[in-house]
Amino acid sequence: MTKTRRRTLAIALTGVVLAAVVAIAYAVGGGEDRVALKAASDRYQIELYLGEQRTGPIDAELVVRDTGGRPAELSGITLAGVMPSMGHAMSELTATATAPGRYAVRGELFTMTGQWEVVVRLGGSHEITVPVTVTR
Amino acid sequence: MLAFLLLLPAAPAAAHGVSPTADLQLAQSFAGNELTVVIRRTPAVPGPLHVDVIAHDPVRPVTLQVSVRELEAQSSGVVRIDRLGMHSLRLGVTAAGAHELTLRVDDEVAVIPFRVLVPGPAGWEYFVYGGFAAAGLFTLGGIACAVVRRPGVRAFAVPQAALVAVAIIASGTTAVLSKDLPPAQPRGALDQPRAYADPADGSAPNGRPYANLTVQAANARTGEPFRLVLRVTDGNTGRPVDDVVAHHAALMHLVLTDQAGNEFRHAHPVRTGPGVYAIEHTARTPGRWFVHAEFERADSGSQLVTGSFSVSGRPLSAVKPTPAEVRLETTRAVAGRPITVTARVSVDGKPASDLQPWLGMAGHLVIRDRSGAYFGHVHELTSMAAAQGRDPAAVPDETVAAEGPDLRFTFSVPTPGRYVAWVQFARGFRIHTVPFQITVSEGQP
Repeated sequence: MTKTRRRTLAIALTGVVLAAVVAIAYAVGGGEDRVALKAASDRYQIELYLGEQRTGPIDAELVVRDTGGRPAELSGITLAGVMPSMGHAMSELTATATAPGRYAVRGELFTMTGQWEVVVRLGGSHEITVPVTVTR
Repeated sequence: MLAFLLLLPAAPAAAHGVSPTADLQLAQSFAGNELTVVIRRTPAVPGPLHVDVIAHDPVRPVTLQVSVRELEAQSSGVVRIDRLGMHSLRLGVTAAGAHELTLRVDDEVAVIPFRVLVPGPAGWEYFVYGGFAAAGLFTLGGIACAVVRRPGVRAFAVPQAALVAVAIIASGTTAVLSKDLPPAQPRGALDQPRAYADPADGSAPNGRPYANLTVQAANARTGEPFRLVLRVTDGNTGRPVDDVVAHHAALMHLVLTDQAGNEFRHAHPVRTGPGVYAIEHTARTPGRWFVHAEFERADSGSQLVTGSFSVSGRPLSAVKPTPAEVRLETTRAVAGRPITVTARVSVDGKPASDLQPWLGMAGHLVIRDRSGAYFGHVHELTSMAAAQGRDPAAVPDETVAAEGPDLRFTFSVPTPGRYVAWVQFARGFRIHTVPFQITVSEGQP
């Protein structure tokens, strides 16, 4: 092996190792797709999946469990967006049950970007509030 | 130089949560007692959560059921309140984030929301440390390769020397620019945008709307305890206001006075649910009573809401307060000009320098006009000035009796007339209230 070829090979190998390290770091750091927004009250635990946290109509899924972790089958669950800093309140969207303890909602929760709250009303006056950052 | 740049910025103390460096103190008028609940700092998460309950005079013996709840875990305990001063309890926390502390005595309940924060490094810190670590490794590797006689190995020395330079430049530049990078957010912190006041007029970019107060006092009769329920709703959305933060060591400061200003109570209603506060009260004077409630919403300044309620029944003789040896001196009171009230507290004829801080300072002055429309809450000047610049972790709690003997209050009122006022301070776990009147004369044009 000539001196030049050795040097080229050394630089190339170092470059490959560096690229591999960066790629592993990226793979470890990033790569989350479905984010669960979790909240709880003294009666229920909820997980809210908003898909995209954006303005306009969106599809959301809600998982409701009781404090023992069993699926909670409730009727009349509603979701509504509230933006405290702007004083915006949105009308309620009614959730439909898709499976025990699972509910689907479609509609507009947010009208602008910023810090919002989703008020989940679980029958009667029992509410759980989930903070949401709307980015686009 | 670089070592200096790498010094970590200290994690900011959280004012309205508990962290390794900050306690949360909240006054609570609960179950017939004036309590201060102190949720102590949390050096380790998961770990113990120490809760201290400070009882003030007079103590009504009760057994408090205390529980702390987070997303998926709960921890509870019992503390017997039977004497003045501090009562301690140990609960547990398992995660950072939103929590609720619940106090329960029979059917009375108080729910205190708070956050547990765990500081951690910012993302760029990993980059800077990783960069310097890589530079060190490449230096060692480069030297090792250079001293080996085999040409195949020695060829790796130069590229590693180049990588040392790249790593040092990249992490050094990041370290130098770090003051402009976003600071580390502790785990469990509320996701809030960083907001700055508008340099043109100082207006807050966010700031929450004003609130409305609805007062409910069912069957209020003199001499009989009744429950006062206060509902706070958002002025824009009408929803319950549930973003109230600790403001002078309470979620809400409530001042109840009868129309003439003969009876006065400064208390701290407990939160029973979102936007709902409750307190038990016994009135001795019938007629109209004024409600002044002061609180602070997140991302906003403090605000005052007012209301009133009626008490029926016959007037009862006033309860004679325990006399405190206080000499009040008031400077000439002219409308629109500063008035200074100095209260000198004595015990057995000697100046008392063992007053306790109450609600974050040595004393409070509340002033009201005859109509109840004007309401002022003045802070004691000397203790507030002394607290400024002090390490938040070193601010004494109410068990440290080192304030006094002079309490100084400076304020002004806009219009001439007669005002009713009260000076309040704490000593020996008793809150003393000294009523007085100020006649304010017309100012010079």
